[in-house]
Amino acid sequence: MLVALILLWALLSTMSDLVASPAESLSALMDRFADGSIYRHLNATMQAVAIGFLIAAAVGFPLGYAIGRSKFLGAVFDPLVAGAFAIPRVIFFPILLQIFGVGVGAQSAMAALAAVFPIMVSTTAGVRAINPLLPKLARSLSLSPLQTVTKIYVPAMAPSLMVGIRIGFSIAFINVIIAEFFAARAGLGLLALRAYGMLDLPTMYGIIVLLAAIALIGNLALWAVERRLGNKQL
Amino acid sequence: MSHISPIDSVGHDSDVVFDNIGMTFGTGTGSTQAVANVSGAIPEGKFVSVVGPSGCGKSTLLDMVGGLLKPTQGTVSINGETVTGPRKDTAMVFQEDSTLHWRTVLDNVAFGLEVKGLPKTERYESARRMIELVGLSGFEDHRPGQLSGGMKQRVAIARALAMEPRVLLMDEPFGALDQQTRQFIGRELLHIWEKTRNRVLFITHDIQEAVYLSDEVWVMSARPSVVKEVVTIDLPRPRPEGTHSLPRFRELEDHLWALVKVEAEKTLGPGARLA
Repeated sequence: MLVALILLWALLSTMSDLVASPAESLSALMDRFADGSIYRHLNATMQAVAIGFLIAAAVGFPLGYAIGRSKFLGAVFDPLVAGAFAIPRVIFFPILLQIFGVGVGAQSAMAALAAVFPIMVSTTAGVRAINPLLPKLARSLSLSPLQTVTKIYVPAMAPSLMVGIRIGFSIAFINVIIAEFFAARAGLGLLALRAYGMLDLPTMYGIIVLLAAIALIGNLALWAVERRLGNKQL
Repeated sequence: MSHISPIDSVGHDSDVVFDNIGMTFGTGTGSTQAVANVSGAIPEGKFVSVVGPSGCGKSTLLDMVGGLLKPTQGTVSINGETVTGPRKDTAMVFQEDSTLHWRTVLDNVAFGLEVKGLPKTERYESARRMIELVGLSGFEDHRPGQLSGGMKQRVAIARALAMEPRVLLMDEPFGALDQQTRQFIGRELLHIWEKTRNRVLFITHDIQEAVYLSDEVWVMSARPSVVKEVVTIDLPRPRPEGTHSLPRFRELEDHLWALVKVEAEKTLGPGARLA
């Protein structure tokens, strides 16, 4: 599959001057690594993804859990969350720029804002899918509130938590790149767009390949963890 | 205090004692009285079943002994101590599957002991004993997803037994199983119980099951429910296969049926027909 894609890419590059060949792109990318100029951008992007994801997780997991467990919160937040899903989060980016200024802060905030929803939704669904007897069992065995969470809720919800983490990571990554396309001081998205502006096609294609590779590897790793958990649960 | 409680007439301090308990859910005009004025005792080493029409508060009764519900009237006491919350010396088995799907059978059975803080070797040792007792040897490393419904219930029973409870509370534990599995596992429960002899409070819809297993069957009335009659099951123990066809078994079963039928008709309204 991957080989076929690269072959197709190579074929296209021979037919058009607007497509850099895989070899050119790779060497342009290597040059960027060799002279160290890429690290600033790579760091900016990864930092924004990490900060954004962590904020989304710190807000999304507890909030999703609370919405799932409380009837009242469920009644209040379910329609809000469902409605908010229809709004493209990226339209708020200009406001985030106003607040945080151009930089990693705005990128991170964008990622957090976007990733918090899938994390919250899958956590809520996970709590609601828990066998209602398990809390009763926990009470009858006199589990402490902490034990109830760590020994019952978290393991019972592990698959949906992992889905939340995986989707949250993807969404955070996507939104950081989109945000970098709009306005950024550093970042791989910015770098790709700059290369486009300067018609430095090998670099542009090289960065795109790098981004795709990061997304793919990150997602596959999380997916593998998810599957292992799933197997354990059967 | 010179107050003479019905405990004196119905049981000893070491028993599980229901002292005129009642349970009302909700308040004001929307309230329902589920249980009214139940008194009785489960003596040491006795197997007591509770039968009665659907919704008569059988499970409520059990939850009150388990400390999951507080009676709105009267008290439940075990060994002379009023039950105020879940206790270490009671253990529950529920009707539906309550196994922890991410744990192996061994870790499921050891779960209660783990929560209690028992070291790994000790809890595994007693979990293995219980697994053998319920006939699941060889399945220690399986996960509940790989087991049948009947086997999962055995895991839940083993988990409860591992706690070495003075009182075993079983809320229609075989209710979700098919008839064949149900009879088979009922026989096994009896074998196990004959070895452990803890007190059992067993809720069931199945009158035959109640007669076969119990020393006493309490018949609950329709809501607000009271114990309408305590039927002593005077069949000799151990009860081998074939007990079901003893004339005395039939007599007891018919008698209980008649009692339950009257109550069920009250719940379902006049003219309701039962099988």
